[in-house]
Amino acid sequence: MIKRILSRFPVYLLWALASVILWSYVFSFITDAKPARKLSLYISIDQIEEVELAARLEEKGLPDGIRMIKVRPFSYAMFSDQDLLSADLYIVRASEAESWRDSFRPLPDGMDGDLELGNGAQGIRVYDAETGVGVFDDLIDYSASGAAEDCYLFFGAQSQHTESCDGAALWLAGRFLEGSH
Amino acid sequence: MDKIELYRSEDLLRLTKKRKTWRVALLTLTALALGVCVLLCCLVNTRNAARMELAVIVISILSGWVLITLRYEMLVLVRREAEHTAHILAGPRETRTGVLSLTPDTVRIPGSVRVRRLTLQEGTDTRLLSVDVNRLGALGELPRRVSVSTVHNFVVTLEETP
Repeated sequence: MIKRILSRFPVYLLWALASVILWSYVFSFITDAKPARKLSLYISIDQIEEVELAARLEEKGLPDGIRMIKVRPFSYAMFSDQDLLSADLYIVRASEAESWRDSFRPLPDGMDGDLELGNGAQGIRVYDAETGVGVFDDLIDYSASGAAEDCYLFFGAQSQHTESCDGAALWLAGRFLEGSH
Repeated sequence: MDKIELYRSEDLLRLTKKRKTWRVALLTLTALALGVCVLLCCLVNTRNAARMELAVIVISILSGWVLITLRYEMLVLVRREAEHTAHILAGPRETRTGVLSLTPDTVRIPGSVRVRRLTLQEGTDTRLLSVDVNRLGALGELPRRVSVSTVHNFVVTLEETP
């Protein structure tokens, strides 16, 4: 009997592969959504607890029509930068902000920026390197990889959730900034 | 010595019932495994998504392996046995007398049962016969002189003759 079972090894292997592919596909549907149904926040820092941060941002509910919030490090976009370029919000180190300025837009009315870039895009400081205090700094290691520097929150230029659409990007920015000390 | 019947219609009934039982059991297990996976999918949230995905994949792989094993080791074997029994019961019988002996050869008929080869010595003629390995025990001690009825060269009944 053992010999017969071993002779079916390719069948067992094939089943294992099929299971992994099938359920990964199913879970990609469950845990992801079209850009119009999700809010995305990209952070130019690799040391983040993205799952916990997304869960905390979702804790008090989501705006109508939004299914989920995705938090990703920039490195997540190594295979395709489409998601990165169409993100709703960004958190970027001061030294990197200029190189990404085309992806940012001016702040919505009523918000004041702490950093203005050449194209008029403005960022809100979310980490102050001098005091070492930052928004959700228990989940984002702002001082990781090298010298600590200020980090800023920017609104995405290609976001599908601008104020002229559903305004959900502004809601997300508000939820994120509530996490400050 | 009484006549030994190796294939009876009650055997076919028993095998058909067994086959149905295994089919229902496998379908129930499949539905159960699928149900657990679907339930876990319904319980997914942002925090547990990765753990749930891993759990579903592990459950799917292990339950699949169990189901594959049960299918081939139980259901398929019972089905083959039932089909073989039905085929033999429906076939034309021939009766022969001679000395019946076991050979060491066991073969699997593709898509059917495993059989043990026998020889029936009728005077100077030797006939090669077969018996389903699951029914081998019913033949009693061999070699001995017997009158056998066969269907498609399978021993169906056996009666000791002087």
